[in-house]
Amino acid sequence: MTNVARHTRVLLRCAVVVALIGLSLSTAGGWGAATEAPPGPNNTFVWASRVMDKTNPLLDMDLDRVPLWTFDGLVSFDGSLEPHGALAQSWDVSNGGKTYVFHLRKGVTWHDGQPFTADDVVFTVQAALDPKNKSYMAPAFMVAGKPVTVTKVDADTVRFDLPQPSNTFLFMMWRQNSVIVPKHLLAGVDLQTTPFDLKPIGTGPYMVVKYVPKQQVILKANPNYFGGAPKIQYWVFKELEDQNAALAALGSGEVTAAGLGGKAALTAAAKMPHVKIHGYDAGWIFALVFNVRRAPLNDKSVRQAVAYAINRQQLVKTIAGADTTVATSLIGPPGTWQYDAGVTTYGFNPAKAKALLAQDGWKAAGGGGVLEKAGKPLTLTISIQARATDSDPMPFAVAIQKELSDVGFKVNIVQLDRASLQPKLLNDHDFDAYLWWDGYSFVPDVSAFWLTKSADPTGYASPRLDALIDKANTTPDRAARKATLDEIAQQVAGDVPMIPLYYYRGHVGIQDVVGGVPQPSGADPNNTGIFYRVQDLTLNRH
Amino acid sequence: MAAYLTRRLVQSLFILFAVSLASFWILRAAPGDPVEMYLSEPFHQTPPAVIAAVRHQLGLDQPTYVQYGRWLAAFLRGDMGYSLVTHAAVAGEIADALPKTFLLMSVATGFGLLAGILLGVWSALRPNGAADTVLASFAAVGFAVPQFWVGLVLIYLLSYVWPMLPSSGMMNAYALSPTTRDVAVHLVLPAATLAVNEVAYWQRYQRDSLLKELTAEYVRTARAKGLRGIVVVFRHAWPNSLVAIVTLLGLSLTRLIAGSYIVETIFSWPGMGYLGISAVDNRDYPVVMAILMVSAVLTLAGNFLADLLHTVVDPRVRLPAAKPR
Repeated sequence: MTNVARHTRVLLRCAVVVALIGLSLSTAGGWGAATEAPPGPNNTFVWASRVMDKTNPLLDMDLDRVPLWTFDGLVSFDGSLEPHGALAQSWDVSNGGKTYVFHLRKGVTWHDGQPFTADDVVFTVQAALDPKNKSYMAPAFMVAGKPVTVTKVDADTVRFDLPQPSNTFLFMMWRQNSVIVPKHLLAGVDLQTTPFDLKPIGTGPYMVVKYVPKQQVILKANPNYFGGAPKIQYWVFKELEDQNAALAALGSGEVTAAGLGGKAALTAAAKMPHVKIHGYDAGWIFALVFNVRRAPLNDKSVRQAVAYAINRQQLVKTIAGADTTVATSLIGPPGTWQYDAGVTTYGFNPAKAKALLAQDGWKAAGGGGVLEKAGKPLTLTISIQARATDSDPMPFAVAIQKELSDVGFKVNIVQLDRASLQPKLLNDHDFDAYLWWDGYSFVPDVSAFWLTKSADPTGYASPRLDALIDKANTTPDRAARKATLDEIAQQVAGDVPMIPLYYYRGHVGIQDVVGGVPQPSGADPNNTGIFYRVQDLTLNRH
Repeated sequence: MAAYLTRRLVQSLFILFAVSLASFWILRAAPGDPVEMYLSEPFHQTPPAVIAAVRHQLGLDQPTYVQYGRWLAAFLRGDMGYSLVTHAAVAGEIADALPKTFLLMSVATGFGLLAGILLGVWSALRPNGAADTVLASFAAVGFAVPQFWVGLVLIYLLSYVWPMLPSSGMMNAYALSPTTRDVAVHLVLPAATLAVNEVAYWQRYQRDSLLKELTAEYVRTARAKGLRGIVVVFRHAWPNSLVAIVTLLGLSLTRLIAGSYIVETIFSWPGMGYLGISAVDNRDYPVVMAILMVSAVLTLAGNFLADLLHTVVDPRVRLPAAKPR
């Protein structure tokens, strides 16, 4: 045997030994046998989701996952957008809407058995407002940019004093915007490093049993939940980033439910024999938003021409799906008290679009079909986000590009990841139009969009609108408020700083063994995607 | 040998320094602000004063060269910093993710190597035959087909149409902790996805390497001496053909690291690739820098291992001698 062959043989033997050692070592660290009876297919709801790295609601950006199952807010809202008590049994409003006194529900305990008291509420508010915590909950406890004041009246009563009346405050006390955290576990600790994140203690219907970072969170039913003990014993949030993998897991029964983003996912799920598709109004609106600082969209006639040129009915039906509602306003959705059914809309009318552009001085030049004015072509760029977590906006962008080119526009599409797109929109205002989903307010409070300062990305400034929004947010009488909201909707529709396209309808594929899935009418303000009463769900496997 | 090792180490340090410098500057030059990403709802601006305060706290308002100096000093002390998004210690995140990537890579490489060698030997023993032609086509497809496509096809077939393997993660949804069997089952699809390219790669190299040995003079001599064909091939030619394989093994580390980003994302396998994709999306500078540096170290280590293995398996090859004084 040659020396080379001999050396190679020795090396191969060594490699095999090293590989075996490596394999055993890499499977050894940190993994052990289960320490309690594990969940199983007959008692566990597995939800294909994204597992957050942090589960402390004071710090966690996404309050629509684990914290919604494990924590509660002071109030809750039902599908008709009417408030009900949660951790607060009831509340009184006085002092012209500037004072709220919450009477806390008695007998509520944290998952570790400690009693829930007013001290927890006071601590939560103060910790959220503490700038060093950079809490994502802070805006919930601020009104018109100023912090509220919270005072403990007694063990079961808390008073909030607002800097000014606010119709949105109660909505901020709902768990989507703020939840209450335990003082006895978080007072005086470093929130960034506390082990609370790995086993958060709340008052919610489920309690965390095990958090495996970047894998899954296993929750167990809270038998003492004030809203009724959940019927499904375990709930697992399983990390599933890829939609295709989630669909396969749903179809094979590996998971009990998975979100369905986009028509392709809906079509695939519809073919699965044991899966039912549930739709819900997710509180998002998909819109084409303009930068009204920049030509040609600084011209209202051009914006209106764009609105007339787009066949929203056809686009929405073809791309978003037949059960999706065409949007007309940020104040909604249809079926709720705040929606203005008479708001100005722009039906598909390419002839009207061309007429508006012609009146505005845009004329055909050469044989190219693109209109010109004062030597400048009618061009605009639509920006969209790449790797959007929801439905891909590209089909809409392409369709709109075609429809606008039919009336004389030259449209370019730019696709960037969120980190690149966001500063262009917010800081540099370097865009013409962008296609995006954004939350519309159930409250409703459109100040996040249309107050002069908040509308900064669009540049749409209107002191009259600012005054109307302030009035709507501080008028207690619902009828008067509705009249003001209608004025807001009409002004925005008339000025066309954006073109609403559709109210995003979320879809969830759920195995048919799950019972008790609610059929929400209208809005789902809890943003749990139909799971706002998880304790009522049942699992009927045979 | 000591001189050679010292020289390689110094070279590696220079390369790592250059990699860190280039990576740091490119990251900072890329559009996007991690503070805005972290603080702001998509497209709703947090008050500029708040963003400015957080940027100052994180040192992101300093000139880039100051930020780099601070990062380098901390890195040399073993401090990889904290994630801008999760605030977790980056070293901990890497320590958690790296073994999982290693596991995936070692299984994929092991399977790819074994299958590639077997198929390569078979091809070499029947050159230009039907089997060799089929395998050549397979290799071409294996090189060309994107890994994400392979992954999705495997998920479709083996997790959905014939549901026998899980589609994602590394543990059973009902388990409180991953067991070895659990991990092994979850490993099959992502490892198979990576292995397709590996099999094609090693099959071609083994085939070509063995064919070259089979035409060598010593093989003709061995046959002339009357040795049986199987002895000639497997005692003499094949071990010599593995020289190229063994040295390329070190270089395959780079390929696998790159491939793991896509595969780990598709299969939600919580390794370095999965961590890296999320960190890049969020402009989580400390995590991205740590991953880049770890990947650079692994690549250099792989190259060094390749050179070392070459000298071990082939005594004709010597390490470069020290310069005469």
